[in-house]
Amino acid sequence: MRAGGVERGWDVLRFVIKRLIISIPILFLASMLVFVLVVKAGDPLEDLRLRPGVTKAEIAQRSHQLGLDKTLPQRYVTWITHFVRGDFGLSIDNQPVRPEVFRALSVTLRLVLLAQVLAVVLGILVGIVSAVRQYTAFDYAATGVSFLFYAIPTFCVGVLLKEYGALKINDFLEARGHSRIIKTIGDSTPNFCTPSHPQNCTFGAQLLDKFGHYLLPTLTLMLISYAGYSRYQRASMLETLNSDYVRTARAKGLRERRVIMRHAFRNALIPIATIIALDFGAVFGGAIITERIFGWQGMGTLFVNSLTKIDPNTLLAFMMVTAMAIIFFNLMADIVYAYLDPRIRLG
Amino acid sequence: MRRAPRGTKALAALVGVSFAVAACGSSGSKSGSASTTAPSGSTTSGAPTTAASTSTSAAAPTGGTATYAQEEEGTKYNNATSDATNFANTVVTNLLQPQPFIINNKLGFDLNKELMVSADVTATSPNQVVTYKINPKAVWEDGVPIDCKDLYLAWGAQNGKATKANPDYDPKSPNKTDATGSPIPKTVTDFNPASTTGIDVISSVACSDSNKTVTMTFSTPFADWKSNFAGNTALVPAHVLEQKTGIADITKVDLSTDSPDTQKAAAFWNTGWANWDPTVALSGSWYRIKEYKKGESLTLVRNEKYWGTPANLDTIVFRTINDAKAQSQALQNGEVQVIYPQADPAVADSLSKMSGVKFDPEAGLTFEHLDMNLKNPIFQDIKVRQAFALCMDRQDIVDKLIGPVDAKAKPLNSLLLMSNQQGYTPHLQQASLDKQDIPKAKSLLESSGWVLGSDGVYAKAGKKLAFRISEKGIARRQQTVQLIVQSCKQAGFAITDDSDKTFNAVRLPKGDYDVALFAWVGQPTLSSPESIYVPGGGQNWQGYNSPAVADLYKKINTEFDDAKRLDLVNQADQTIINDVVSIPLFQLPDMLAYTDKLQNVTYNGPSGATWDANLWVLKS
Repeated sequence: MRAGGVERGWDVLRFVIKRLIISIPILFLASMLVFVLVVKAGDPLEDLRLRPGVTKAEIAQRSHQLGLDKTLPQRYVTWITHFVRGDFGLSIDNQPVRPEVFRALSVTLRLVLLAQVLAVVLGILVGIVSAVRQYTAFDYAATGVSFLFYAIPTFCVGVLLKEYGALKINDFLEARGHSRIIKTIGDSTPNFCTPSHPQNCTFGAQLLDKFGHYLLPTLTLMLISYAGYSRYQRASMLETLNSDYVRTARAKGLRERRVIMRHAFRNALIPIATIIALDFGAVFGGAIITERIFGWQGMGTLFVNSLTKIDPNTLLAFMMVTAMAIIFFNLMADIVYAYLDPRIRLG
Repeated sequence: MRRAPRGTKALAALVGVSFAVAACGSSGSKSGSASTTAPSGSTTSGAPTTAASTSTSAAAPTGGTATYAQEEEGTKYNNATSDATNFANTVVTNLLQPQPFIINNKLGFDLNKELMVSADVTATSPNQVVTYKINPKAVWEDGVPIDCKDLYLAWGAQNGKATKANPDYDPKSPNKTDATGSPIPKTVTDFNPASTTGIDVISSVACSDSNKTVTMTFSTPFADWKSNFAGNTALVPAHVLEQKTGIADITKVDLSTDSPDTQKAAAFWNTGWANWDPTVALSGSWYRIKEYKKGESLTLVRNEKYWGTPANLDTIVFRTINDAKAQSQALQNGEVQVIYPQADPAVADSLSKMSGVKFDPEAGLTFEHLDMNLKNPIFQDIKVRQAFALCMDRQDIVDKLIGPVDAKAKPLNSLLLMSNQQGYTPHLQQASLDKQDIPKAKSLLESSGWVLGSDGVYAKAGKKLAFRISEKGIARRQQTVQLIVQSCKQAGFAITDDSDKTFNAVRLPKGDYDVALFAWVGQPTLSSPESIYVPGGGQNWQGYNSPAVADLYKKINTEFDDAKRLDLVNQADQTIINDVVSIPLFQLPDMLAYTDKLQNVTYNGPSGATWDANLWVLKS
């Protein structure tokens, strides 16, 4: 057993190394493709050209500062040689890109991870119960709710939650002498805790402020993701519950709880584990719509803003961070898949 | 039955821990400075004080906090560099940086009477001389006087004269071009200003009177001299640059010549004032920076060292909300008090119905227009140009495209002055070219020898009256072209939409079009459009050549009397309009909305709503 375990450990390591080596040319090709797409996306100097009174010399000078006067291959080589050394370059407004990308990433992770974890937990729970209690009132209700949130676009959920979950409830609270607890933008109230307002500096007050800010965006993301996860989990669970080995387990006289948790649940996790791992990779790209609706300056907003400003270095950094995250979580998905299903041989 | 409660508890615990972690994660203040501000949304009543441009009398401030929602986050305190010059910066620097003249909401320049004792043209011959006398009480927030050093730095950094060799220039191949086809310049400037216009013609700056009097001598007259050091080019603290670079006295460094000291100064001026670091981004105006959290908020508090009438509100907070709808909902929810979103019909509709909110869309500075390419033989005939102006229904275009945001919007009838700018005269209307008149358009064409064909399109000497309107491919412009195509078809024009994403960037500057549909931005500096309408101007892409307009611009650039100057600009505008080389369409609307608890908020196209935020008052 021990020797087998060690061998399996080496298998996993070999698999990871192999996948990582394969991912290098993939990233390299992706970077070239992304570079060309970004450079061809538009002219960063368009606004400058259309500013009355701006001279050709001023445009040439700006073009030189941004390196736009170089050929495409020259620009790519300059960018990639800096990027691999951890220098993401400067944005179109001359700000270092790396700290900006990591700041945006931290915002996104704060927003999305909580929602994602809640959606996974809730989705799996509801999916299992729905499958076990197939065609009961609970199943019908859960199916209806899932399809509802599956069908509504994210921006609708967000805007509706703000309209009815924030504005109306806050109006109701305010009319009864309470403060407007539920917030519609950002992750905290600026200058909330100050010496002139010591009552806002207590742990409880700050927790409430955070709660007010996180509630709606977390709900928006959670409901959308939950809808998918609960449907996948239900279908997967039903398939395993109807499989021969579960029937055999029941025939052997095992208790129903043991059959469900030990035999059906673990196997039913295999497909959803893959989906969840891939979704976590996508998380790094930000929740563009939710961030925009709730005024969070995360990866999604960074992407939209840099695209609008035709900001090549920021766009490239965004793309590369997202690509690396997706490659990494793809690898994670494969490892988890192999862990959950021993029949799958790595490599 | 037992599993559900345990699951619920686990879920509740997870949520609780998550919020606790989130709450703990950002409880501290990054700046660590003492705070006397109220949380966002708190209100205090009071009466407005007076503007810097009109008075220096002191009055007790009234207090309170207002939060201003920005569509884009400002990124740089020094807004005069070429990587800045951003409206998002301007709305903040309005409240921080001293400027001799303030751009008012009629696009005129008002003397900042709290900063300046006077600022006048004190000689016009043999050279223009401008003398600035700075208020002896004027200081930066650290107590250092605002003086000649600051104006000297502003001049030195933006005159574009200190240059160094361009490493990319190859003397063996002097005609080599870069990847964009432009010649590679021999030199590049040390400083990195967005523009040198008006400052490059100042030949010397002299300090006197304990550095509180500054005398600037011009090599060539510049009648727009009031625009120097205003708006985006407002003053930055020279003593901070001295401290950071080790330069003892910036006025002793010849900033017009490349030298180690000039390079040190340039390096700091170009990049040292990035972001809103309160240790270097000092205030010489009503507010100072208290705290900046990138991506979250920028908090300004009243500058205690401000020598003039103090601002009313204690605190102004800037928050970034990219989405127009999100801005309006934040306003409704009391999280922000002032919003300035992108024009959006749905948001305009909801704002107009919102209780407790003041919303009055205004005509902005960006205006759409059509330029006819005079190198195209069709447009060398003025009757064709007149017929083209008469075949389109501009009011219909405005009603359909701008009406949903601003029901009172009207077509623009001038090219050089905006409808809300001092001196605006509707010259297109005076030329009777402002309204659709199909019979007159046909009559003009026929009087010029054009004959209506069986296909409903005019032709002359075998050439049809057919051309393209080129535009960048955004929806509003495509709709504009469609409306023109339909209406001008009735007058025998065969027009096609030439929608091209690269049009503005590539083809427009090369003059590769028949008719171009794009936008200019109206300017408070009256000399700016010279580059568009005078031969050899950097943006005269349509090939317009009018000796009368060129002559008028020579006079505009040397006339120092504001009223006479405005009259000359109107003469130039009338000439261009009568030549029918460009047809103004409409100004894009700007949407300013704010809570009705906030008083004295006024729209200002170039500077934004914060231009007089020192006067804002919150009533309870």
